[in-house]
Amino acid sequence: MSEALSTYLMISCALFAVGLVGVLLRRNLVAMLIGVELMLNAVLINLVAFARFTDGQPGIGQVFALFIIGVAAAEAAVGLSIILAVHRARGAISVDSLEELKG
Amino acid sequence: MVDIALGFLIVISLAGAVMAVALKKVFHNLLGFGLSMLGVAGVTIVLGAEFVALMQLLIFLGGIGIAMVFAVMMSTPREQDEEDRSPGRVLAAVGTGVGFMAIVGSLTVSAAFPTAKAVDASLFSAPHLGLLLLSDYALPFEAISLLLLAAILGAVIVARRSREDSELTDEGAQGV
Repeated sequence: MSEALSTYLMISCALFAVGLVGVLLRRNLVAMLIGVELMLNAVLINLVAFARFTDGQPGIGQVFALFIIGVAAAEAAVGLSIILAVHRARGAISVDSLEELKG
Repeated sequence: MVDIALGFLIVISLAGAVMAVALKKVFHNLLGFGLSMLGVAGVTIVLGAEFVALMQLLIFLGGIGIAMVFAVMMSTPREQDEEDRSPGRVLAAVGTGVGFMAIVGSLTVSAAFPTAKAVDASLFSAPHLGLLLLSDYALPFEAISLLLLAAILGAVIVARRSREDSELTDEGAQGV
């Protein structure tokens, strides 16, 4: 089981699906951000698994996984500061309180 | 042996992810998120990428997780608003997730990926990754540094300006 690429791809697929459900289901901004982080982690597993099991220059997949980690850190920093700004302006961090641009 | 460990790690990461999504209190979601990160780091170690696993743990659990805890503590809602958990919404969200998994999962199982010969583990070592980052991938590496700098400056500016303008914004909101 641990020597098959498809095992890791299925873990990653399930993790991405759970993160997607989180983004769609939750109305709380922090909970939605958690869903996005789960999806980024699924991508990370995918990159490392492909680096381990397919041809090509070894290590590249791990370098890209490190880039994903960097992008996730940047995204979380901006996202959390936006959440704090929304909370200061609205007193709530539910997306239901942000509907000015709703058509 | 490795299979048992991997099965345990899969259970941890998926159970943590479900906790992070399904529970109603945001702090419980964060605990589930931490559990899931531990599982994902374990899976990455099973794949032979110790350095990536440790960085993942350090940043997702130690950095992002703690920052989210601070965000939750600083943004306790004034009135506890109940989330809309009507069956229709839950069904739509879970249905999308299951549909995604069915499509991508079936494609994954049926696809034939080019399999590799056994990879030399020393090519996954931290020194090798460091050489790659500073030779072939020096430009993306610098771009990520720039992105992080811009993101941190932007985060500080967004969080700060709203504090100065918050009274003004409140008045504006009440006027409307």
